[in-house]
Amino acid sequence: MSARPPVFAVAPSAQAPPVHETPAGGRPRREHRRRWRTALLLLPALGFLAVFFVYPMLGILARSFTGAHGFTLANYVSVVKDPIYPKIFGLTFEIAFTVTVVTLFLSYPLAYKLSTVSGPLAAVLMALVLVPFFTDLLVRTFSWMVILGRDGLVNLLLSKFGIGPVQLLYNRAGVLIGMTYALLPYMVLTLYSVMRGIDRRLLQAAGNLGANEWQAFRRVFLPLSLPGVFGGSLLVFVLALGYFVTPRLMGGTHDQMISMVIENQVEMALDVNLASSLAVLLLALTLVGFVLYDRIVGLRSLFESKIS
Amino acid sequence: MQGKGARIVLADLTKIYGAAAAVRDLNLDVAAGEFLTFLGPSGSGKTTILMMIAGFVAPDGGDIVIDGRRVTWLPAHKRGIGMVFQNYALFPHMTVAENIAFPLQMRGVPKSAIRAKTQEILELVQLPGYEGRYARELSGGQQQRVALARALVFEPRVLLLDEPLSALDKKLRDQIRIELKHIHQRLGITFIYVTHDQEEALIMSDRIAVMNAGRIAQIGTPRQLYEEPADAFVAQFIGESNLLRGVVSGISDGVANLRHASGATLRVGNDAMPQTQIGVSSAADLGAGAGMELRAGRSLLVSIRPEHFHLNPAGSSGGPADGLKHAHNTWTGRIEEILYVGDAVKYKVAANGEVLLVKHHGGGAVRPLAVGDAVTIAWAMAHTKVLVERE
Repeated sequence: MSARPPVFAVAPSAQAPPVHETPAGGRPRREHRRRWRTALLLLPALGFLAVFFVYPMLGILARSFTGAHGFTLANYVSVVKDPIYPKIFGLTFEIAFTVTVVTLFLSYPLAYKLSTVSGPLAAVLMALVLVPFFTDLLVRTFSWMVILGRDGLVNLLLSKFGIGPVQLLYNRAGVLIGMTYALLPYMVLTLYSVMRGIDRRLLQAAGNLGANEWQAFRRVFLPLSLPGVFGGSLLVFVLALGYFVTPRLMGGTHDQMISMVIENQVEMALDVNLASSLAVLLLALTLVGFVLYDRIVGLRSLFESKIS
Repeated sequence: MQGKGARIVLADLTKIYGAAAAVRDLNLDVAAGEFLTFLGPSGSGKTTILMMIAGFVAPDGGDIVIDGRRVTWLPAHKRGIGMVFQNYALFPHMTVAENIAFPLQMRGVPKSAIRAKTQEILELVQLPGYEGRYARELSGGQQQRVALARALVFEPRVLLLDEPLSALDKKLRDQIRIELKHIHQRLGITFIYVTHDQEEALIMSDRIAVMNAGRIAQIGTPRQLYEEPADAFVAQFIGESNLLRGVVSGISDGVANLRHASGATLRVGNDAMPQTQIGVSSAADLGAGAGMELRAGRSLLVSIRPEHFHLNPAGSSGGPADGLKHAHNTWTGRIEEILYVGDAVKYKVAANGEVLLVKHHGGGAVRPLAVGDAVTIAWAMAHTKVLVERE
């Protein structure tokens, strides 16, 4: 917009700096300064990330291309050639996917209930979801091992009905139970935040327009909660991909996930370069997952938790 | 167009929240095809009544009968009542066309018919061509029209409107008011409208039920409410009113002389007494109103509209009744404040210990008046309305 001299005649002395001159060069400069101030605010976080994330990442990347005689692709070649690594990658994705699906189905009704209740019940339910966050993962994992063990609580109860003992530890079941439990809060909280933002009057409106409760849920609530479903699933899936402690302690030899193999390479085989290439591959595959997700669902939906 | 709307009867309808009754023993008979408005301040129970009719709030007592069918406990989705919500409640993940199709899909209407009906209803609300838009891409007024289209497309016999214009700017509000009125006339269905805006209620309604603290203070046509307010609440809620109190000191020929606290006289005609049309439900409450008699020693509250006062400079030629042939009351006072509001001038006049509001349309007084001027205020007996008072 070009600035014009004021239409109404004002006493000249009243407008010390003539109004129509300021916008000409002033606005872009102010814009510029504001942008700089924003950059300054970002600086501490960016600095932290640069030192503690980008630099080590670059180190890992460099190491993955390093052999006894400098630059080499040998690490990657051996990962691809050895049938065990692709298999473990496949298993890792499979476990992560299963955990995500199970978590979603357990969390959705809980988050729905959480988003509808208020008062003391809401506080109690929320606390139940959050308590695991306040306890150390290792402690929780060992607790599960006590509960699920051969002489644990679950098998004790089952034996009362003449069932069991059931093997719940050191196999796939143990891994899934442990990881689902550990990752549940992330899914619940993501779903909850989206569901809280859904205007309940929309459900009233659906009812008024002839929808019964199931139809109102199916046609109105469920579609509006999808950003939470996608966001929570992505979060849980990515976290599950790199999970270490739980599968290590609760899984068997056939439930090795990639993070455990990486640890093995570093601790036992002392091959940091091969471990680095595995880590880079995991990161690359995760990024591919993100891209696919963006193609199918759209990453934007993650940030639109509230649809207006 | 007769017979398209439903008759709605509310019998002893009651809703209690905590210790307080939001709606108390409400009785009302809404005629088929009527435009009835619940008018009242927030918290007067008007929205609660609407929510009970829609089926979102279960009453604690009484019944709701639509066309002879008791629907008190029928779930909302089986009532077949259209509703326009205050915030429109448009489904944000659906386009305009999908929003409008929703109630038809719920009723199993075939696709081809849905398309035709959507077109037709968008014509009615003057929004053709907006089928593919989302609510967030529409202005407030357009969203309002879509909400109206969605509520009407399945041809309900009753339409409930919960302050549908409150989010719009004044100009748009004025325009949509008229459109709503036209749509009501065209469709012939029953409209039940909730608002706190008295102007809106006066313009659109066949009848207005003025709500106060969970009860109907008065029900009647807009003209009845304005010209014959039943009590002080209605007199002050609809338009502006001057309330004066006096004790009956003498009666002759159907004219009562009231003595104001200042000693001044107020003359009231027998025909100014409240009539029985106060209201279906409140007739019992205000029982005194119907049989109210002028009797000496009785204290009465009267209401005079600001535009019924005639203001003249004190001692001006033509006497106190200047500009008024039958002035039965004449007080003297002094102008305290003058407010120019464009099409009218408002004066605040101190007289006999009261501050009276006087409103003159157009030119107003013959001679320009200034703050501090001594004036006479004259008004006719016919414009002095006696109000019912509840104990």
